[in-house]
Amino acid sequence: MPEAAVEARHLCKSFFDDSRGEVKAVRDVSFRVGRGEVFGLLGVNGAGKTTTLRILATLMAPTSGSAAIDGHDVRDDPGGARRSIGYLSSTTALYPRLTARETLRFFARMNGCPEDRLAARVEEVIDTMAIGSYADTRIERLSTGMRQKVSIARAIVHDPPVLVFDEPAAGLDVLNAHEMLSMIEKLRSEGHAIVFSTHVMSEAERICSRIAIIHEGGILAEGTVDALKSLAGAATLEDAFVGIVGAGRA
Amino acid sequence: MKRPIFLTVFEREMAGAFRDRNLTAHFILIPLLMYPLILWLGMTVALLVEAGSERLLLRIGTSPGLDPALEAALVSSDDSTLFFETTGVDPSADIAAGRLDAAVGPSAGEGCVITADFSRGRGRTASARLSSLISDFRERRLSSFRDSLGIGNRKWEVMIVSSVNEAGSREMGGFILGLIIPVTFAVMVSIGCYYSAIDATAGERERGTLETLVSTSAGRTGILTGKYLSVLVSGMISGLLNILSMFLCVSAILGPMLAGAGEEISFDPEPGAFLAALFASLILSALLAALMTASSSTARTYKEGQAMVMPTYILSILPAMFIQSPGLRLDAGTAAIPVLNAVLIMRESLSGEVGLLPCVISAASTALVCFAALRAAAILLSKEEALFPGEGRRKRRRLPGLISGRRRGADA
Repeated sequence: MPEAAVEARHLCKSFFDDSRGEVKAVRDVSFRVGRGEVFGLLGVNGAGKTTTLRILATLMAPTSGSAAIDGHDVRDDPGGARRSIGYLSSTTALYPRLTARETLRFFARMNGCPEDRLAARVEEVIDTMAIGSYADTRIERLSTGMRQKVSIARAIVHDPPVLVFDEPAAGLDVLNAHEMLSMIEKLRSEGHAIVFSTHVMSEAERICSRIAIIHEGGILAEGTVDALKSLAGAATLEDAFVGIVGAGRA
Repeated sequence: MKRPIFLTVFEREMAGAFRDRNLTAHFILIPLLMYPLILWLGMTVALLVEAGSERLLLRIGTSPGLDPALEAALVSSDDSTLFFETTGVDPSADIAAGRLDAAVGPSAGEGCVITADFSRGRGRTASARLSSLISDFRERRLSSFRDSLGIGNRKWEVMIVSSVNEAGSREMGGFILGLIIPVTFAVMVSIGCYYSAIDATAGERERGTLETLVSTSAGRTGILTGKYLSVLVSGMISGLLNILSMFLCVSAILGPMLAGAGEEISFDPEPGAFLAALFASLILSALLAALMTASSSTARTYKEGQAMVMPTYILSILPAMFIQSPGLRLDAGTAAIPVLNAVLIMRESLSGEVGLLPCVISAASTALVCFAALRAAAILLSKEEALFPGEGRRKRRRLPGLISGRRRGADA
């Protein structure tokens, strides 16, 4: 296994809900992700994927357990962890009244990019993401697909070694979702460690080096697509998923 | 070299605000155009009302027993809008039925009595015109009586009271500006801060950009400071534009009007007044920006933000309402009261001089409240439940001893 860029050790997260009482959103989740690897968290809605990723992005503190991003502990050194991470979720939005270029400049500065390297880095990301044709258009005038490309550009503008993508293709049409996955593959080939959550089997099968099946806050199985199929004795990833989750429930 | 986070956030907030039509309207257009519009509307309405009132044709009854000379003077007056007719002893029924607008009849003594329905505009106008005509008649009769006695005007008046205004035209101008500007100034600064504060906090959360923002490596203090500064600047822009607009309106419209009425009033305050006004604008904006940013920091939606900021908005207007109290002065005590100190500095800078000590006390008390409010906002923003409402709450802990202790005691 390559050197670990992300390491989660026995992560647990509980919170209190007025109607349900204490909710254990994440239970004893552990995994490692190396550079140049896409690690997929595959689970149904409410399985604990988003909470796990929010802990990695230091937006939530774990109730117990620990996690490190590029060697920075999320609890002890959240600033260091955030500098090493590019976080994108279906709920992270962009400022509608800024242009794409202004957005990238803003987030590069917010992530500590020095002024003398700022312009060059922004142009580099605009080229990489092929968003030059609408770089000076306000976000509010862009289509959903264009916005999502700018969102990825925003997440990588400070060149973080780790990328955390929480269902980034949610709400996109087939073509835009396809393009989004191609970009993630490109980022993987550039050496980024990517943690990627989805509930769409085809997405996970296409881009993930390894997959963890998460259900009711806990990881039920982890491995390559072939390993999971073999574990469940299934022909497809979908069948493997259903089999493993069903066995977990029993 | 890295740019400070607060400056980056401030720049983005201001860019966003200036590109938003609603925000621009609230903190630039309204303060700038409010006075010209109010003056224009007020003058137009006053002229229309006056013209309508002058053209109003009114029916007046004269009751039996009225002084014949007075009746003759009324009927032969130049006022062509009054139509006189003889009525009965009691004109009440005609007035109630709307057949007459007013009636004039004899009173128990030497005088006369005007009867009208004062709940109606026509009744009030008819009464006012009759009063004026009767007053003219009375003056003529008194003058004739005085002449028949051979008494001069000075002796007749017994004691004439007159007053001399020692204030110069500039002082009077400052006094009038000091009466008008501080009240609306507080309101305008508040409006400037109001929408910017909600947009910077609840607006950010509602748009979904807060999660994006706090996932960066920037510290929350820097983010909050940048947002606070943008709200402060919006409030200052609002307040200063409002003062400028008011000053121009008063100089260009009220000044010439008063000059036409024979009042020499100069709306040209001392240069120091502008500095003091700038200072007042700064401390009031700083205070309201801090309170409004803090109070809306946990709001999930724009509507929730509006509800949370409203008490601060009302609080900012209250002291301005007492500004006209004659005994209220800027001293060490009042300088320590936020909002009130700013409006008093504004008032006294326009009508006189402001001492250094009250300014220092005002700045210190404002800084203290701002620090406390921003500290509270920073604590609130650092909570998970502020970022993800309903998902970040930890289990409530009971207060040890009190409730549970009593319960145990009761059970035992």
